[in-house]
Amino acid sequence: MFLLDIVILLAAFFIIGLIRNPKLRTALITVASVLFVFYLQPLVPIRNFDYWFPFLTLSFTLLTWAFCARDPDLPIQANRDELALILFPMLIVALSRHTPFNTLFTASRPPALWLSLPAIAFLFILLTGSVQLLKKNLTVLYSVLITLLISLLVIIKMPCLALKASEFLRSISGQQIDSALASDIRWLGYSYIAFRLLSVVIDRKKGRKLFVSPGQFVSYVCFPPALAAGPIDRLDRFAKSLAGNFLASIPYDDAFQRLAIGAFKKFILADGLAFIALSQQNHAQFQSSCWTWSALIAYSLQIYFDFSGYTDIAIGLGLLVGIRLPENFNHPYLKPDIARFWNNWHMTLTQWIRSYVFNPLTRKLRSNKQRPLPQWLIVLLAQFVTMGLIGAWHGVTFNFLIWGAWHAFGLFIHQLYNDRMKDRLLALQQRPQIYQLYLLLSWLLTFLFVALGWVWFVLAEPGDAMAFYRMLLMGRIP
Amino acid sequence: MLDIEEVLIDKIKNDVLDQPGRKLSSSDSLIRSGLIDSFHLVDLALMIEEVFHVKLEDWELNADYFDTIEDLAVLIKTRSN
Repeated sequence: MFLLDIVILLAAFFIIGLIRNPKLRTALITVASVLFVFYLQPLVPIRNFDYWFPFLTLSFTLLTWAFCARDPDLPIQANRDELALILFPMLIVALSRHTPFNTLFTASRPPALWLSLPAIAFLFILLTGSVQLLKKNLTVLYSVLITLLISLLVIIKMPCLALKASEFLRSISGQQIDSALASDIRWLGYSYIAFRLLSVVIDRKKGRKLFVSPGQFVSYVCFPPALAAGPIDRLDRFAKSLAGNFLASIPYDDAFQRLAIGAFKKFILADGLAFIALSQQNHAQFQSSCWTWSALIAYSLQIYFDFSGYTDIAIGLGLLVGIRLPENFNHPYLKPDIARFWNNWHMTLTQWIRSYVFNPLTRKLRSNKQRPLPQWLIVLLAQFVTMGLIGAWHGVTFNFLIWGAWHAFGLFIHQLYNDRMKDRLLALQQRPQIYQLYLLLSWLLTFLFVALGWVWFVLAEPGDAMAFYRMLLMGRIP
Repeated sequence: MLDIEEVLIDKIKNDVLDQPGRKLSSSDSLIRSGLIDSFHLVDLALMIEEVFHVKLEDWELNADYFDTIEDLAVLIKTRSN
């Protein structure tokens, strides 16, 4: 999101927050969610896909609602008004093609009406038809939805598949495929949207029932402040706010304080640090070990201020309409061990992965009483699978997988150390001064471990990362 | 409720943390303090299921749902009823 986008969102949410009637405010949040999905989508080099990606986001969201979050005892007509609140703005965006404001909602002119209108009509027919499907066994359908959402995520995150997808989409759009790039597939917020949708489908598949209206569901999945960079809220938590339980009064002081802190972190600190921080462009230019370390520390701080700044802005914007989004960072760099770092870094993503991957996997491995696995092996497997997935979520490339494995190894060693040393550490706590020194050294070690891990995160080529490590340790090699 | 808390304290000290000598009270933070890490949190859930026959779902194993033994006792009591 650019500064202008944030200012426009701020103005829109400030006005919506002034509405005191909860139903009207909820309705306006729904409309804003639909329109901002289109508005925030950046320009895509594939023709009309800055319209089609948001269209697909809303289609997947509505279909997931129809199959998983809809009360099956209520006919779809019971939600007619709210569905109109979603489909009508989609129609407005499509029709804006033939107005002087044809790039007001989308980065480029929306597609021809003979394409966009049948697509909206088809979505409506699918939603209506879903009632019949709901009467049948849906387990297969849930599995299909899960597979589809994950497959799209893999295509977007894996450069070779993204390139193939771009070539395919260019060919059906009548464009040259020679100029296709993996970066063409810029689907705004899909990583976050997919995880929100997946959590609902997986919960429903396991038998958890949570019924919300289509407006609440679209607002949950596409809430504009959290669209581009999270946090990933839970549906039950978010729905409570929207079901008329808004914060009693808008906490303007809190909201503007978070917005100011977020803007300062993002646009002053992070963007300032970017001048000296390690990057894909400058990694080979450092001449001394001192500058190399400075670049690494600067990057470690830059990524924190950038990401946590966005979260502050998202939380501040949410507060303006009376919705408190979950925190995503809790001073992660001040934590004395790697486990606590991960409990406080991108908290909503790690909590999601814990709920749907780590906990079920560990539970399964621990529950095998017939042939129990040794504890160290369970920890090793669970950490590598979990952190491998967190790495892959950032991109299915070798460097992100190594970054995930780096942290899995750290967490594995920490777990073994903690289990073996817990009695000694408990005894050490009785000697406060020595324990404080221990915590200080432990913090330093954790920060260094995390900072060194960022090298894999930034540099796409493992060879470049190894060369950078050599520079850190030995200075420039002639 | 106190019975549940006593059983929980005993089981957490002996089975989950494997630290019989540790002092633990009903109001101590278990998750936010880092006392129980994510790995042993699953052990805690399995123990509760075995002892109290109450299911803790995977998405509930975090400090938003419970953080102290008091919270856990209320959760168990509510679900047992």
